[in-house]
Amino acid sequence: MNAVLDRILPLRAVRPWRARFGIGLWLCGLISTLVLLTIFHGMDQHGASVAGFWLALYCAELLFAWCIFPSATLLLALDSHRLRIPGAALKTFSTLLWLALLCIVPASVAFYFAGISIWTSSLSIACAIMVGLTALWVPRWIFVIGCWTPSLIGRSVYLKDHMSLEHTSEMNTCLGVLLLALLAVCIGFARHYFRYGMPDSGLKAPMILQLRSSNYSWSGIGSKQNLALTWKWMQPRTDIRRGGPHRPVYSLRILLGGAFNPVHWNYYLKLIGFIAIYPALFMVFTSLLHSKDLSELGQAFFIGTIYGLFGSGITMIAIYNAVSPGLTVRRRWRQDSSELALMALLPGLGQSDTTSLNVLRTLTFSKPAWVLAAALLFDLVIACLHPLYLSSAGLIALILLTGYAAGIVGALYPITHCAELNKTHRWLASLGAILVFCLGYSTPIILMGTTDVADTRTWTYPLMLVDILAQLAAILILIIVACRCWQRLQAMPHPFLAR
Amino acid sequence: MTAIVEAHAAYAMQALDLSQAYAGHTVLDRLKLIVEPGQVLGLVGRNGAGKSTLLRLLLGLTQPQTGQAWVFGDPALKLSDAVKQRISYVPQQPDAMAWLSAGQLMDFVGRFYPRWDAAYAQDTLQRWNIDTNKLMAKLSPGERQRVDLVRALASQPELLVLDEPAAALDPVARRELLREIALRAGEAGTTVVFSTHIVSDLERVASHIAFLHQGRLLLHCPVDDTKERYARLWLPPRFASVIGEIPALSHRRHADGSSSLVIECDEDQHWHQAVTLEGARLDVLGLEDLFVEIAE
Repeated sequence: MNAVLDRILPLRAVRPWRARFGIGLWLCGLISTLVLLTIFHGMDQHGASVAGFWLALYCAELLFAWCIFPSATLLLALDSHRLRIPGAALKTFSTLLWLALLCIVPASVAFYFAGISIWTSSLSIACAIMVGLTALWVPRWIFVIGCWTPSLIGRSVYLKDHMSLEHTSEMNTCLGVLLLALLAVCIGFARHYFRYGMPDSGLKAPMILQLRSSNYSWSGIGSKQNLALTWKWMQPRTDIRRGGPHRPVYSLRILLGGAFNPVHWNYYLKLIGFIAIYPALFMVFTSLLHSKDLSELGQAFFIGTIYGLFGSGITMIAIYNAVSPGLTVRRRWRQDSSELALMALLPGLGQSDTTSLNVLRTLTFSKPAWVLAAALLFDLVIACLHPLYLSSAGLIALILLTGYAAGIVGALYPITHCAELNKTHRWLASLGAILVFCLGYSTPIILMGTTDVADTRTWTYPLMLVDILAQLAAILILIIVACRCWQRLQAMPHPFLAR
Repeated sequence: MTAIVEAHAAYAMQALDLSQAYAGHTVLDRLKLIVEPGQVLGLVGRNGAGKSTLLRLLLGLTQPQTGQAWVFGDPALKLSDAVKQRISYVPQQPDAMAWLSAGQLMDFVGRFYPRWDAAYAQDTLQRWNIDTNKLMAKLSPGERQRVDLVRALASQPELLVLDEPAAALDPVARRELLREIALRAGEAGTTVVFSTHIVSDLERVASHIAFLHQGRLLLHCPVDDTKERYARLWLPPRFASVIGEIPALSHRRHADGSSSLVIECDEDQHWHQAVTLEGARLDVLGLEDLFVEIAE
């Protein structure tokens, strides 16, 4: 063990964040730079009157960046300290300090010229960094969702300026829901604290060797490592009440876990509560800094959330649902997967001729499908309420359909042991997927942003047409692949054969 | 046709010409194996010998490249629910269903087995100090293995297949597991097939031993017979030329030039002459020595 630690640690301790998350770090740097540029462009246009808002935006973005990357470094530093590895802890803490200074000093100077005192901006940024570091105690993907906050607020301000919203009843509803969600979080936490003491997070034991890169990626959601690092209070509680041989599809969902796992509704409530902390903090923060009415901000946020979800949220849901079933299935259908052996030998999941059909039903009509159906319903409601957004809504519906088809193919492919693509085909497929993804993600946002701008139609309509064609082509290809996979699945002795 | 099915059904497990290769490396080579009801078969072999692969092929968890396997008369790749209810399998790394608590796992899996012994599951988990409300992901590897063993035993199987069941267990738990296996085999007549490289475990509970080496079963016989049936013949360096003439399971050349051969006493009698050679010696082999001699 010591030899392994000796070999691994010095490398990570010097620049752990760079050694492990090279691409992610650059992406994070790029996002932060873009946010800073947007902020200073905004400040240049609107002057110091909205500087407080921009500072809040910067803090929110920093919070996101710090929860993903340097929080892992802090974990490493704590472990190094605990394991008494000479020099490693000091170097790692220094790295963190250096990063923090880089985030605080230049921005504080810039905000000083925009009219905010050095102390206010420095303390605010330092607070955001500290909150970001608390990502050690919760699943990081909650924070990833939190990164939506700045874009939602940005959109809400845009809408507020353009729509002159005055409805206080919506604001009251919004704040009421927010408070209830926060209350649920607080009660849950307090209950856990009084019952078990401090949460048994990953910090209890040295974690260096337990951390895996999958902890930070989407594929790690629901994985054993992620679950082991999560508070007991925040762990998803699977609803097994309806499982059994009389409901093979539901039982398969339990056995597959991940994207298919039927979880108690109170888990989702807790998640919503946790995510609600971000906008709540953001609103209070902006209100204090900017002397704005909290109710006005709450109302703007509510409207912003709805349209933010419509513009980009649904597309994100479609993308997540396209990817997550495949990742879950790929993890289960490995040779060393215990779940696969359990599924193969568990009586009652169907005789050999019906099991394949049950597997297909699980993949096509379970949680991911229902999530997409809910998203589609939301899309239709917005389209009905605002005929102006009808074309955007139609496009989003098509994107949801592509996401659904991609999810099924992604899940069927590893089960049916279809041949791995060669390098050229994989490259072409990746290129196609990236193009469809980029078009699918950006076109609705562009359409939403330019709906009321007449002279943009000359280029937005062709863009929409290209997107529609791309989505239709993707759906066609996915249907062909799905049919082939289904044929192969039927030809297999049983669907639970390891690769 | 019926006669063939009945012939297969007479055995708990049967493998015929099973072959498997990964990335060009042959793991199993036309392997034949029969496990009769009530047997406790210990499958031994070095790491990477193909023990886990064989167990997986026998249960139809992987499709063999050639050959076929049967479990209670059913083709392993098409097991009926009736047969599935009679078998239990504990994999080498029991990390199944990390998103369920131990209690939930027992509750859920128990619904699929008509003979599920819920009281046994509850009592055993309690005796082994396993928190039934804790997620499987939060349990230690040893605790997870215990939970999986309880899961396998609580279904009261007629065939219990265990892949390295004691790998993550402490000595106390290991002894308790062996006692349980012996008890099940003795009282309920459960057929047990388990892979291991802890030879002392095998001596304690196994009625039969199967030695897997380089994709083939080198020996398959009752454990009690091994001492009488196999012996080690030592030959001094000057008799190196006669080694090829003596049929042996394995032969090993030592640093000083001497050789040792594992011979089967009741087959060819060539070794009788060899023993009479000057400096030659015949040793009785324990299971562990037999393992080392063959594996090296």
